[in-house]
Amino acid sequence: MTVPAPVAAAARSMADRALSWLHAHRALGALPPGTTAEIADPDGVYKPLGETTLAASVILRDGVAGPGQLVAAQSLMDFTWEQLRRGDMLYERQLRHTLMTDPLEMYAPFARCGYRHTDLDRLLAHRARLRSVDGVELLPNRRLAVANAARVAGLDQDVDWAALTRATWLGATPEPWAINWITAYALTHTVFHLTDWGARPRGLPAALAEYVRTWLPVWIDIWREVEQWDLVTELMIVGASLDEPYCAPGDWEAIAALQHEDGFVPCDGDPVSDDPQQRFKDHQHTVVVTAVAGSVALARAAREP
Amino acid sequence: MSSRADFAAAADDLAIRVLSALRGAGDTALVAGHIDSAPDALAALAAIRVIGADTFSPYVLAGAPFHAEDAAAVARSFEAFPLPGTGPTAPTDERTAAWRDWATAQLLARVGGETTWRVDAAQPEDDRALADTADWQRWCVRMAQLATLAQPGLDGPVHEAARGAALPLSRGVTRSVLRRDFPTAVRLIRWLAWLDHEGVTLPLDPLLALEHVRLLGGESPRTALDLAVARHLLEERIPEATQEART
Amino acid sequence: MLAQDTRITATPTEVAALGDLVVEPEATISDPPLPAPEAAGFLLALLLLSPKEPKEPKGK
Repeated sequence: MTVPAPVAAAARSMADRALSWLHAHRALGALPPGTTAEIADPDGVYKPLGETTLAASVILRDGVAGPGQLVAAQSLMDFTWEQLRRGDMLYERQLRHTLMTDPLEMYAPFARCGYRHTDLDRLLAHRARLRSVDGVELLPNRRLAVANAARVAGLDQDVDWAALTRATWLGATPEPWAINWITAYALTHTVFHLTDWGARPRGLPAALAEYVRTWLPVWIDIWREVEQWDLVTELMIVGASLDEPYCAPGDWEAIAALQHEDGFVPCDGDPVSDDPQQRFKDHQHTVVVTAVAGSVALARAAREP
Repeated sequence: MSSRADFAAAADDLAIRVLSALRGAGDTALVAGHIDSAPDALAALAAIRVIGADTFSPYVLAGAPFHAEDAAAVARSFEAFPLPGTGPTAPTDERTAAWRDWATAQLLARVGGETTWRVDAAQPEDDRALADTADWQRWCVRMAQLATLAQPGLDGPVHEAARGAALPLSRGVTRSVLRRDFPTAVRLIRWLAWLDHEGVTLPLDPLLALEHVRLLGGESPRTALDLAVARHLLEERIPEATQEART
Repeated sequence: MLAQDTRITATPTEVAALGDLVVEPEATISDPPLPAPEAAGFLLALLLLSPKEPKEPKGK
C-alpha cells in the first residue's frame, strides 16, 4: 500500500499550517526570564520547547515542505536554541544531574540539524559509558526514547534494540481490546523511537508492524469517535511510519478539516479558550504532532516509487 | 396492543428457557411451554422471531430431543408476523431480518424432521452488501444483528461472507469492547467462535475476549444465550447428527 | 393459554416493534478509554510528544 494522493494533499496542508502556527506563536513558548538549569516546572515551558524543536527538526530532516516552510523551521530552531542559551542550559542541567535523560533528549533534534554544543557532546560521550546511566530505571518505551536520542546525537553505544522492544507493551502484542488512553501513547512512542520518527520504517520488527497494521484502524476509529484529536494524530504518525504505511484518507482529511486556517489544531473536542496563552498551553502539543504527522506522511509519499 | 417492551420481556423469557435447555435441564417442549405460560400471546410469538434460529440451539448444539409442539409454535410465529421483504429494493434492515427468518426456517426443517410444519422464508436476493467489508464498522454492526446465524447446521451467503472476514470481525470485536457495547461485542465474538469452529485462524483469542465481555458486560438473558452458544462452539463437541447435517 | 386454533395477527405498529427488536443498532459509545487523572503522575516521566496532563474527567 502506498500513501494515497488525498493523504499527501492533507499532509502538506497539515504540516505547512501547523509549522506556521508554531512559528507565529513561538514567543508564547519562551522560558520566563531568569530560568536556570534547575527548572522548577520542566513540563511547563521546557518540555514544549523541546517538542517545538522536534517538529521543526523533522521538517528540516524530511525536506519535503515548501522553501518558505523550511526557512520558518530553521528560524524556529534558532529561536528554541537561543531559548536554551545555545545549549548552555542543557549542558548545565546535564552537568548537575548525571542521570537525567532530558538534556540528551532535548539536544538530539538540535544535533540532527547541526546545532552542536562541544562541552555537552563531551559530557554526553562520557556519560554514555557509565553503567549507572544505563541502569537507570525507566519505563520500557522511555528507554527507547533515550536510545534513539543517543543514536540521533551520534553517541557511541551498545543497544540491544530487540530486548528493549520486547519489554514494551507493544512488544508483547497484547489483546488489542484491552488498551487504554495512556497505553496508546506508550504504543505510539515505541513506534516513534524504533522508526526514528518515521525515517526508519524497518526499525519496527515485522511482526510488530503487522500487529499495528491489524489494530490501528480500530484504535483510530474509537478515539476519533470521542474526539481525542491529539492521540488520533499520533496514531496517524504511527500508520505513516510503518514499512507498509497505513494512511486512510478519511482520517487525514478529518484532521486537515479540523485544523484552523492559521494552523491551530485542538487537542480534543472540548471548547477552546480565547486566551492566547491558555490556547498555547493546551494545544501546542497537538499542533506539534500535526506538523510531525504531515511531514512524515509527505516524506513517505515522496520516497515511494 | 403489545409494545416493544412486552416483546423484549418475552424474548428474555424465551432466552432463559433456551439457555436452561442448552444446559441440559429437563425434557420439555420449551417453545410450546413458553407460549402456553405467556401472559401476552402475541409477545410470546414475537419472542420466537427475536430469538430466531437460537430457539433450536439446544437441539443443534446439545442434542436435546425435539418436540412437535415446538415446531407448531415456531410456525405460528410466522403467521402472526409477516415475512420481511427479500427483494432487491428491500431496505437493509428488512433483508437482515429476512436472513434471520431464513435461518429459523432452515433449522425448523432440519430439526423438525417428519413434522408437517414448514415455513417458507426465502433468502434475500443478491445481497451484495454482505461481501463488502470496506466499511468494516457498519458491516460488523450488521453481522452482529445476524449473530443467530452463527451456529452449526446453517450455511449460506452470510456464512460465506464471514469465512472471508476473520480480520473485519476481529476488528469489530475489538471496537465494540473498547466502546463498551458488550451486546454487540458478544454477537461478534459468536462469529469468531463460529470461525474457530470452522478451523479459520483468528488474529485474536476468542475465548479470552468472551470471558472478558462476560465478566465486564454482565449477562442479560439474550446476551447469556449468545455467550453460551459461543462457548459451545469454542469448547464443546457438536452432536454427530448435526456434524453430518453441516456437510 | 393459547389454543391451537387461535390465529393471531400483529398490527403494523406491532410489526414495526418487532423489527426494531430483531435488528438492534449498536449502542452509543459509553465510558471509552479517555484521559484518567491517575495517568498524571505517569505523564511527568514522559518527555517529548507525550500528551498534556489529563484534565478533570468530562463525564462523557
